[in-house]
Amino acid sequence: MFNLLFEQGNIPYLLKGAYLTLQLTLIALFVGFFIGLAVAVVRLKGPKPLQILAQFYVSIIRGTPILVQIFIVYYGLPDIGVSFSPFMAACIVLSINVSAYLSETFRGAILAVPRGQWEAAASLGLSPWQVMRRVVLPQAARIAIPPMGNTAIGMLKETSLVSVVTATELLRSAQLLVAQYYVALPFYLAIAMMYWIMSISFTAILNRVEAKLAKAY
Amino acid sequence: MIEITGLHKRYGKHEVLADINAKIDAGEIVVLIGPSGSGKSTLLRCLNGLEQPNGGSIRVGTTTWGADTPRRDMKQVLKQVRSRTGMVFQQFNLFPHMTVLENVIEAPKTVKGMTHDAAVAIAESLLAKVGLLDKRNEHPARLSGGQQQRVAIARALAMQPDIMLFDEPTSALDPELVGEVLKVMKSLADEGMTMIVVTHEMKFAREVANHVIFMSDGHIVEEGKPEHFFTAPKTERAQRFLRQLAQEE
Repeated sequence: MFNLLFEQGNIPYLLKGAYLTLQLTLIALFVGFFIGLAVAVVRLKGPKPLQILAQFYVSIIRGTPILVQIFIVYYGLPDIGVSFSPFMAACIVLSINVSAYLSETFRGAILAVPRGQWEAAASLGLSPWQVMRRVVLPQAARIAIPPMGNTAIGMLKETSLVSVVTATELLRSAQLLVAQYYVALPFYLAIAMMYWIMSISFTAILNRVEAKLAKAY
Repeated sequence: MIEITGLHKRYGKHEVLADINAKIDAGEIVVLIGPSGSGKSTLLRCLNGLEQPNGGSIRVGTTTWGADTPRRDMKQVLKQVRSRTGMVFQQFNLFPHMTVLENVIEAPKTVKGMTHDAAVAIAESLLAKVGLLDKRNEHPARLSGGQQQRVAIARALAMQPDIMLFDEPTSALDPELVGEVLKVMKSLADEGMTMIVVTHEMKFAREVANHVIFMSDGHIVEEGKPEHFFTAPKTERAQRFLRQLAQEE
């Protein structure tokens, strides 16, 4: 049974799926990082109406299942004439989803920077934006790194959900092989292993980053 | 140089500053003293816009603002006021992610747009003045409290303010580190800097200040020359405060 796994082209096929999973994860994290940062800053320091809007955004994204969000973007939006490729839909949903979670992380980290830091920077004449950029965010970043790592690993696993819109990421690749051979266990075990390897690699990288930041001051 | 007129500040229902009036001339070394909770720190913080008054007005140099200054004008006010005043905090508040030198050159570069080299030149001369040039590449966490506070003074001076505000600069320090900070402050005073100091260091007040303002419960209860205030305080409240201090010592 398990030798099916090693039949011509099957492992490379799964690896291709793993590559797509990694791509989706990194794109979602990258885009989500900037949206999340913007949302966090707006929620804390923006004009009142924007603050409420940002809060609403976070609430609605975190309060609905990611699977439903994927369905809305991939199956729902075409009804009003907006359609995306499976990969594009997956990127959009995952980015938006992770941005909401990251914005909460960032908000907490920004609030964790002591008030004296804001005051000292302001008293030197830095504008609110300069205070944020030069003094608060660099300190918030190191506070945010550990929870961000958890979000990143969570995202890696959540990408499996986009298999439902036929984006051929890792889970979907396995499903296709299963459908071809009518044997499931070897393929699902194989991708579990691949997810796990990617997770521990993420963890290892994050530990390195944390250690480096801890040394900085 | 500074004029405070009818200043009020409330937190909720609690009146922290009740009708404060004061005038401070260039070159004066003013010491603000009084029991804790008397409003001295709040008054100081009002002077560089860290607190917004609920009534009255403040003039620093040619800039005047008050409770009814519109928000859009405050931006300009704060910019002007903060370019003239330097502030030193009880908890130092150095930026922990920057080295000593980076702390000092940050504002000249970011706010004044000074070139890196020009900012470094100023910073180095100031660090030499506070005796910490050899620590220029350390992070604040590696310095003692007294050293951190001296860096904080250099950082404020780097913006070349006309007025220095000190908010209990030695209260968070171990006793043996107080002297080095006071020494730096004294040398600043000798150079003619206008200074307003909230402090519990009565020796400093007596020796360096030329004007004492005694506050209690949000009011200025008594003010005058230190030699008069400390030897013959006029009000009962000030007498009681000084007696208490003497007992503690």
